[in-house]
Amino acid sequence: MLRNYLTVAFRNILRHKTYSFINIAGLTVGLTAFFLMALYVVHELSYDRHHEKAGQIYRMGLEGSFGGNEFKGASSPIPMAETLVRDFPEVITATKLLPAGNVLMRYEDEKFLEERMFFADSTIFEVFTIPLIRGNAETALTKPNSIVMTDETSERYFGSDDALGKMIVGEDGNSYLVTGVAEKPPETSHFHFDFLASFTTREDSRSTVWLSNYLQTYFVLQENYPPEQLENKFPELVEKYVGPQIQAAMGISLEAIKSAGDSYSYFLQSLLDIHLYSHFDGELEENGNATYVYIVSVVAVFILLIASINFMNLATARSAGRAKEVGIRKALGSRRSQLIRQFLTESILITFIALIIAIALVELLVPVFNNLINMQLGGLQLNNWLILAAIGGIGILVGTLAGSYPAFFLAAFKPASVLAGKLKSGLKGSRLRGGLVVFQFAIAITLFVGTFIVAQQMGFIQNKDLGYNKKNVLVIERADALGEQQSTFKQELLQQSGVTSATFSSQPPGRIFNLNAFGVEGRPVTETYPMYDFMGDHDFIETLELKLATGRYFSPDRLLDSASVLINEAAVKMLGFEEPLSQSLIRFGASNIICQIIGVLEDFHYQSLREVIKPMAIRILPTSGGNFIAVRIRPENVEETLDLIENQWQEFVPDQPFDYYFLEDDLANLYENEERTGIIVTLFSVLAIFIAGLGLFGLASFTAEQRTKEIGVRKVLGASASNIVALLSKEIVVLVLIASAIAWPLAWYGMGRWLENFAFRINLGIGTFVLAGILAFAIALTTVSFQAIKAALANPVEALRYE
Amino acid sequence: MIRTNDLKKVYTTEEVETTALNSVNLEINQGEFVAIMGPSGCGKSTLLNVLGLLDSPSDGEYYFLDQEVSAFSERQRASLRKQNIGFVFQSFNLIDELTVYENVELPLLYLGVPSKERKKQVTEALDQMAITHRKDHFPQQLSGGQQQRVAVARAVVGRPQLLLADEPTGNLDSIHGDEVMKILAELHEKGTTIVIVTHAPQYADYGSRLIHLLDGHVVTENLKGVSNA
Repeated sequence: MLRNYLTVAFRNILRHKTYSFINIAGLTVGLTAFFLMALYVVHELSYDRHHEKAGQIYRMGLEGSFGGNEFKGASSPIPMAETLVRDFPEVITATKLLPAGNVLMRYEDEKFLEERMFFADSTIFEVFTIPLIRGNAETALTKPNSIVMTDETSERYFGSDDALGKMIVGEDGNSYLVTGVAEKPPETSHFHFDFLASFTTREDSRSTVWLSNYLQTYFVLQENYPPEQLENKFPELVEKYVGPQIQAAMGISLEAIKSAGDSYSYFLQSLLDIHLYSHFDGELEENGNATYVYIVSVVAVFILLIASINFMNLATARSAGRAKEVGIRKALGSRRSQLIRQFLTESILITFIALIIAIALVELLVPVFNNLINMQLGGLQLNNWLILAAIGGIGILVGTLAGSYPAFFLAAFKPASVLAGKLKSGLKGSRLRGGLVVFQFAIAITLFVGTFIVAQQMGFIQNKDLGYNKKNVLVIERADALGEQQSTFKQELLQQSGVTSATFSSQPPGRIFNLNAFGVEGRPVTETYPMYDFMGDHDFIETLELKLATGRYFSPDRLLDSASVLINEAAVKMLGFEEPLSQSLIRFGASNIICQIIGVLEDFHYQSLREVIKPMAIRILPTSGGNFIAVRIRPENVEETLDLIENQWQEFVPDQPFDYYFLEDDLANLYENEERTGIIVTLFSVLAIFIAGLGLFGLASFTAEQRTKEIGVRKVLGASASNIVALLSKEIVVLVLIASAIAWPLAWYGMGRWLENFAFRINLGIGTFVLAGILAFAIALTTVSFQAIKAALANPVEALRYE
Repeated sequence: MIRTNDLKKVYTTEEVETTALNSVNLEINQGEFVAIMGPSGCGKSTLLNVLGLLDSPSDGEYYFLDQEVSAFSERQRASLRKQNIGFVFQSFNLIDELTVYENVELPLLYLGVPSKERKKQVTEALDQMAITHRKDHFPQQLSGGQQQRVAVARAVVGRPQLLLADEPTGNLDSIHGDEVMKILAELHEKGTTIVIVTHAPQYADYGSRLIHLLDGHVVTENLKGVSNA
């Protein structure tokens, strides 16, 4: 029987080529889009799952508030790892992890700039699954000055030679013995290392200071031990270890801090939540965003739905063609369920044809897609039975979904009327078809609105006045390598015709991250205020073109400026100053510094636009204390200027690599996730409308064919071609209007939610919504009128002859 | 074999109610060859559809093989139908996507006949209709007479007790029409009960009994000797 079904199905596909093409093409595009998006979603969901104990691994975080200002970070202090294992039996093992920053590594005469080196405890191999190709995981990182490198790094340094036992030297003077070669961590890790050096190498490795939270602590919890139960014990931890140190450093007790309404507590975070849900201060890498994964999943499902609806619509529209067969089969004794099964078999067959083409397309398109969204997604792993079964399952699901309605619809035909030719072909279910078209277009319009709004917001971010001029600013990293030569370097730089200004700073402008506690002179010492803490040289505001609200900037003529500070307007507001210039701040630290406020800067965006502008303080950079040089260059001959600057750098520090970026590019990277989601949504909304259009085209050609007689009669009675086009297009106008009415509130709500991610965002204007509606309408109308015009121009005699 | 009691069939659309059959009382015995005649729209086809369990009556009783079937569900009717009734239509109603062989095989598939047995029965039926040489052709490649012979082969391949034919010669010229009627007569001789609806008096004469329908009523029923057979 199945063979009979398949035979009929195949012959039908071959016989109605246009119809089959539209169906298969729609499903193919839908499935291809679905799989591409699924690859992205699965990629995002699979972060850190390769660790055997992934479900038991947690990271420590610190949260609290000072002076009503909250902070939440992924960092913890050095003694944390050891303490967790010692004090809590449910913690099996723990490791510290500390990024080493940029390190210049030497091996013999070769130098390498390493950006992905970490210090870690020897237990890192117990916590994480990091397979060693060479060396012994148990002992690799126990001794000081040991280092484990990835296989890729080993290849880079030593080619095919065995890395084990080789010595490499860091610029800090530490030499490291290679004790292991590890497999390169997969793309889907929330941190990527090239080197893991033993934490014991560091001078601070035995530190007992709890108040400096600057590294990451990961630990493995006993299986099935409830994490909340451990978290409940953290207040004791704070009391026992942190309290006394606060008392010693600040002269106040933990209780006093708490009663002032402030807090200080540790929390834990599941490893599996880090990539998608964690956006704290001190993350090791830029993490993903669950919202975007969710958006992409929804779009993927919608595209499949649109493709399935095409199938439903076309199949029911041309049901008349199959009615006779249904009648005959019923007369011969077929049960309804058998007919339903037959039509489902047919739709599943068509889906599988589309599926096979889609799989081939996905394999072809993955590199293109990766290129577009700047990711490294693998293809569909067809050698994996589970994945193959899942793909097959999707085929059956889509086939069943797409085929179910037509199957029930067709199988319900009454044999007596069908065989007598009484079936009013195609009229039945036209309301439902209208509904389905509305649904498709509502999705398409929603996606359009989404696309437009994402594009507008990204444009807004790119063009927003940040309060400084980000254009034509070159940032050179590792300026500390210049050492004592910093000021001569800057002077020579300014001699170049392409350079207009330059400034040294402690942190990269545009990505200021260092938070410090400040107090106000004359207020109780318990009143502390967290403020971003930044140091720039005398040319900082000139180079970045910042604006001064009041007071003055640092001047090279005034020696006392080392005890001065500028704050931004946000800080003035937080501190409640009426006259900021008469106030002094206390910067808490190893030794407290009192600084006179000499000026207020207008607020500028020194962080991503997702963040509001927070209070910050700028102090003068000590001589030769810069880590970065920001250079404002002329927009002309950028290449040449760049070459000259690099030459100068090489003259000053010949053994140091020239590491630079353009400020504008770096700021754009802050929005990589948004850009990526924007690209995906844009791409797939175009595809969605394409599929919907394809379905509409099929439907329109069918309607035109069906109304041939009506059109013929109307023409004979004197209707013009344009009358006919209007007649056939009228319905579409109504459908698209309804679809818009459904789509607009949905898009308004959804995009409003998305925009909430940004502290600075565009307003949702009605224009965007109308534009999306018009666009969908134009596409629909073009599609339909192609058929309508064809029908309108046909010779009426031809049309009537068939009747 | 067939007995109806006050059979009614009413079609209702939104505005109009059409009575297609009105108080039809009928009895057809095993082995009969009954011809139904009447003008267009008198309810012949409706009657045949009801008798063939393709449609259910609006009112009245219908005994098929001594079972009251008027209230049967679609599923029950389908099951009775495939085991006992064969159909021949005016417009042949072959499935265009299936070959001659596959069309004839179809009822056996629904009956669940094993493949070997199927092959045997289909070959027999095709032989009987002298259409074996065309078995791999598609319906559109055949003449009308040939198509109707295939349709008859399909109707009888499952060896039904009852064969219903709705104007089987309506779309055929007289040579092919005669041919098809002769085949039906042969089947009747072999014991199949046949009910045929026809416009043509010369074909009605094949029947052992003639029923005249007008406006949904049986107006005359005359039994007569088998002639022209």
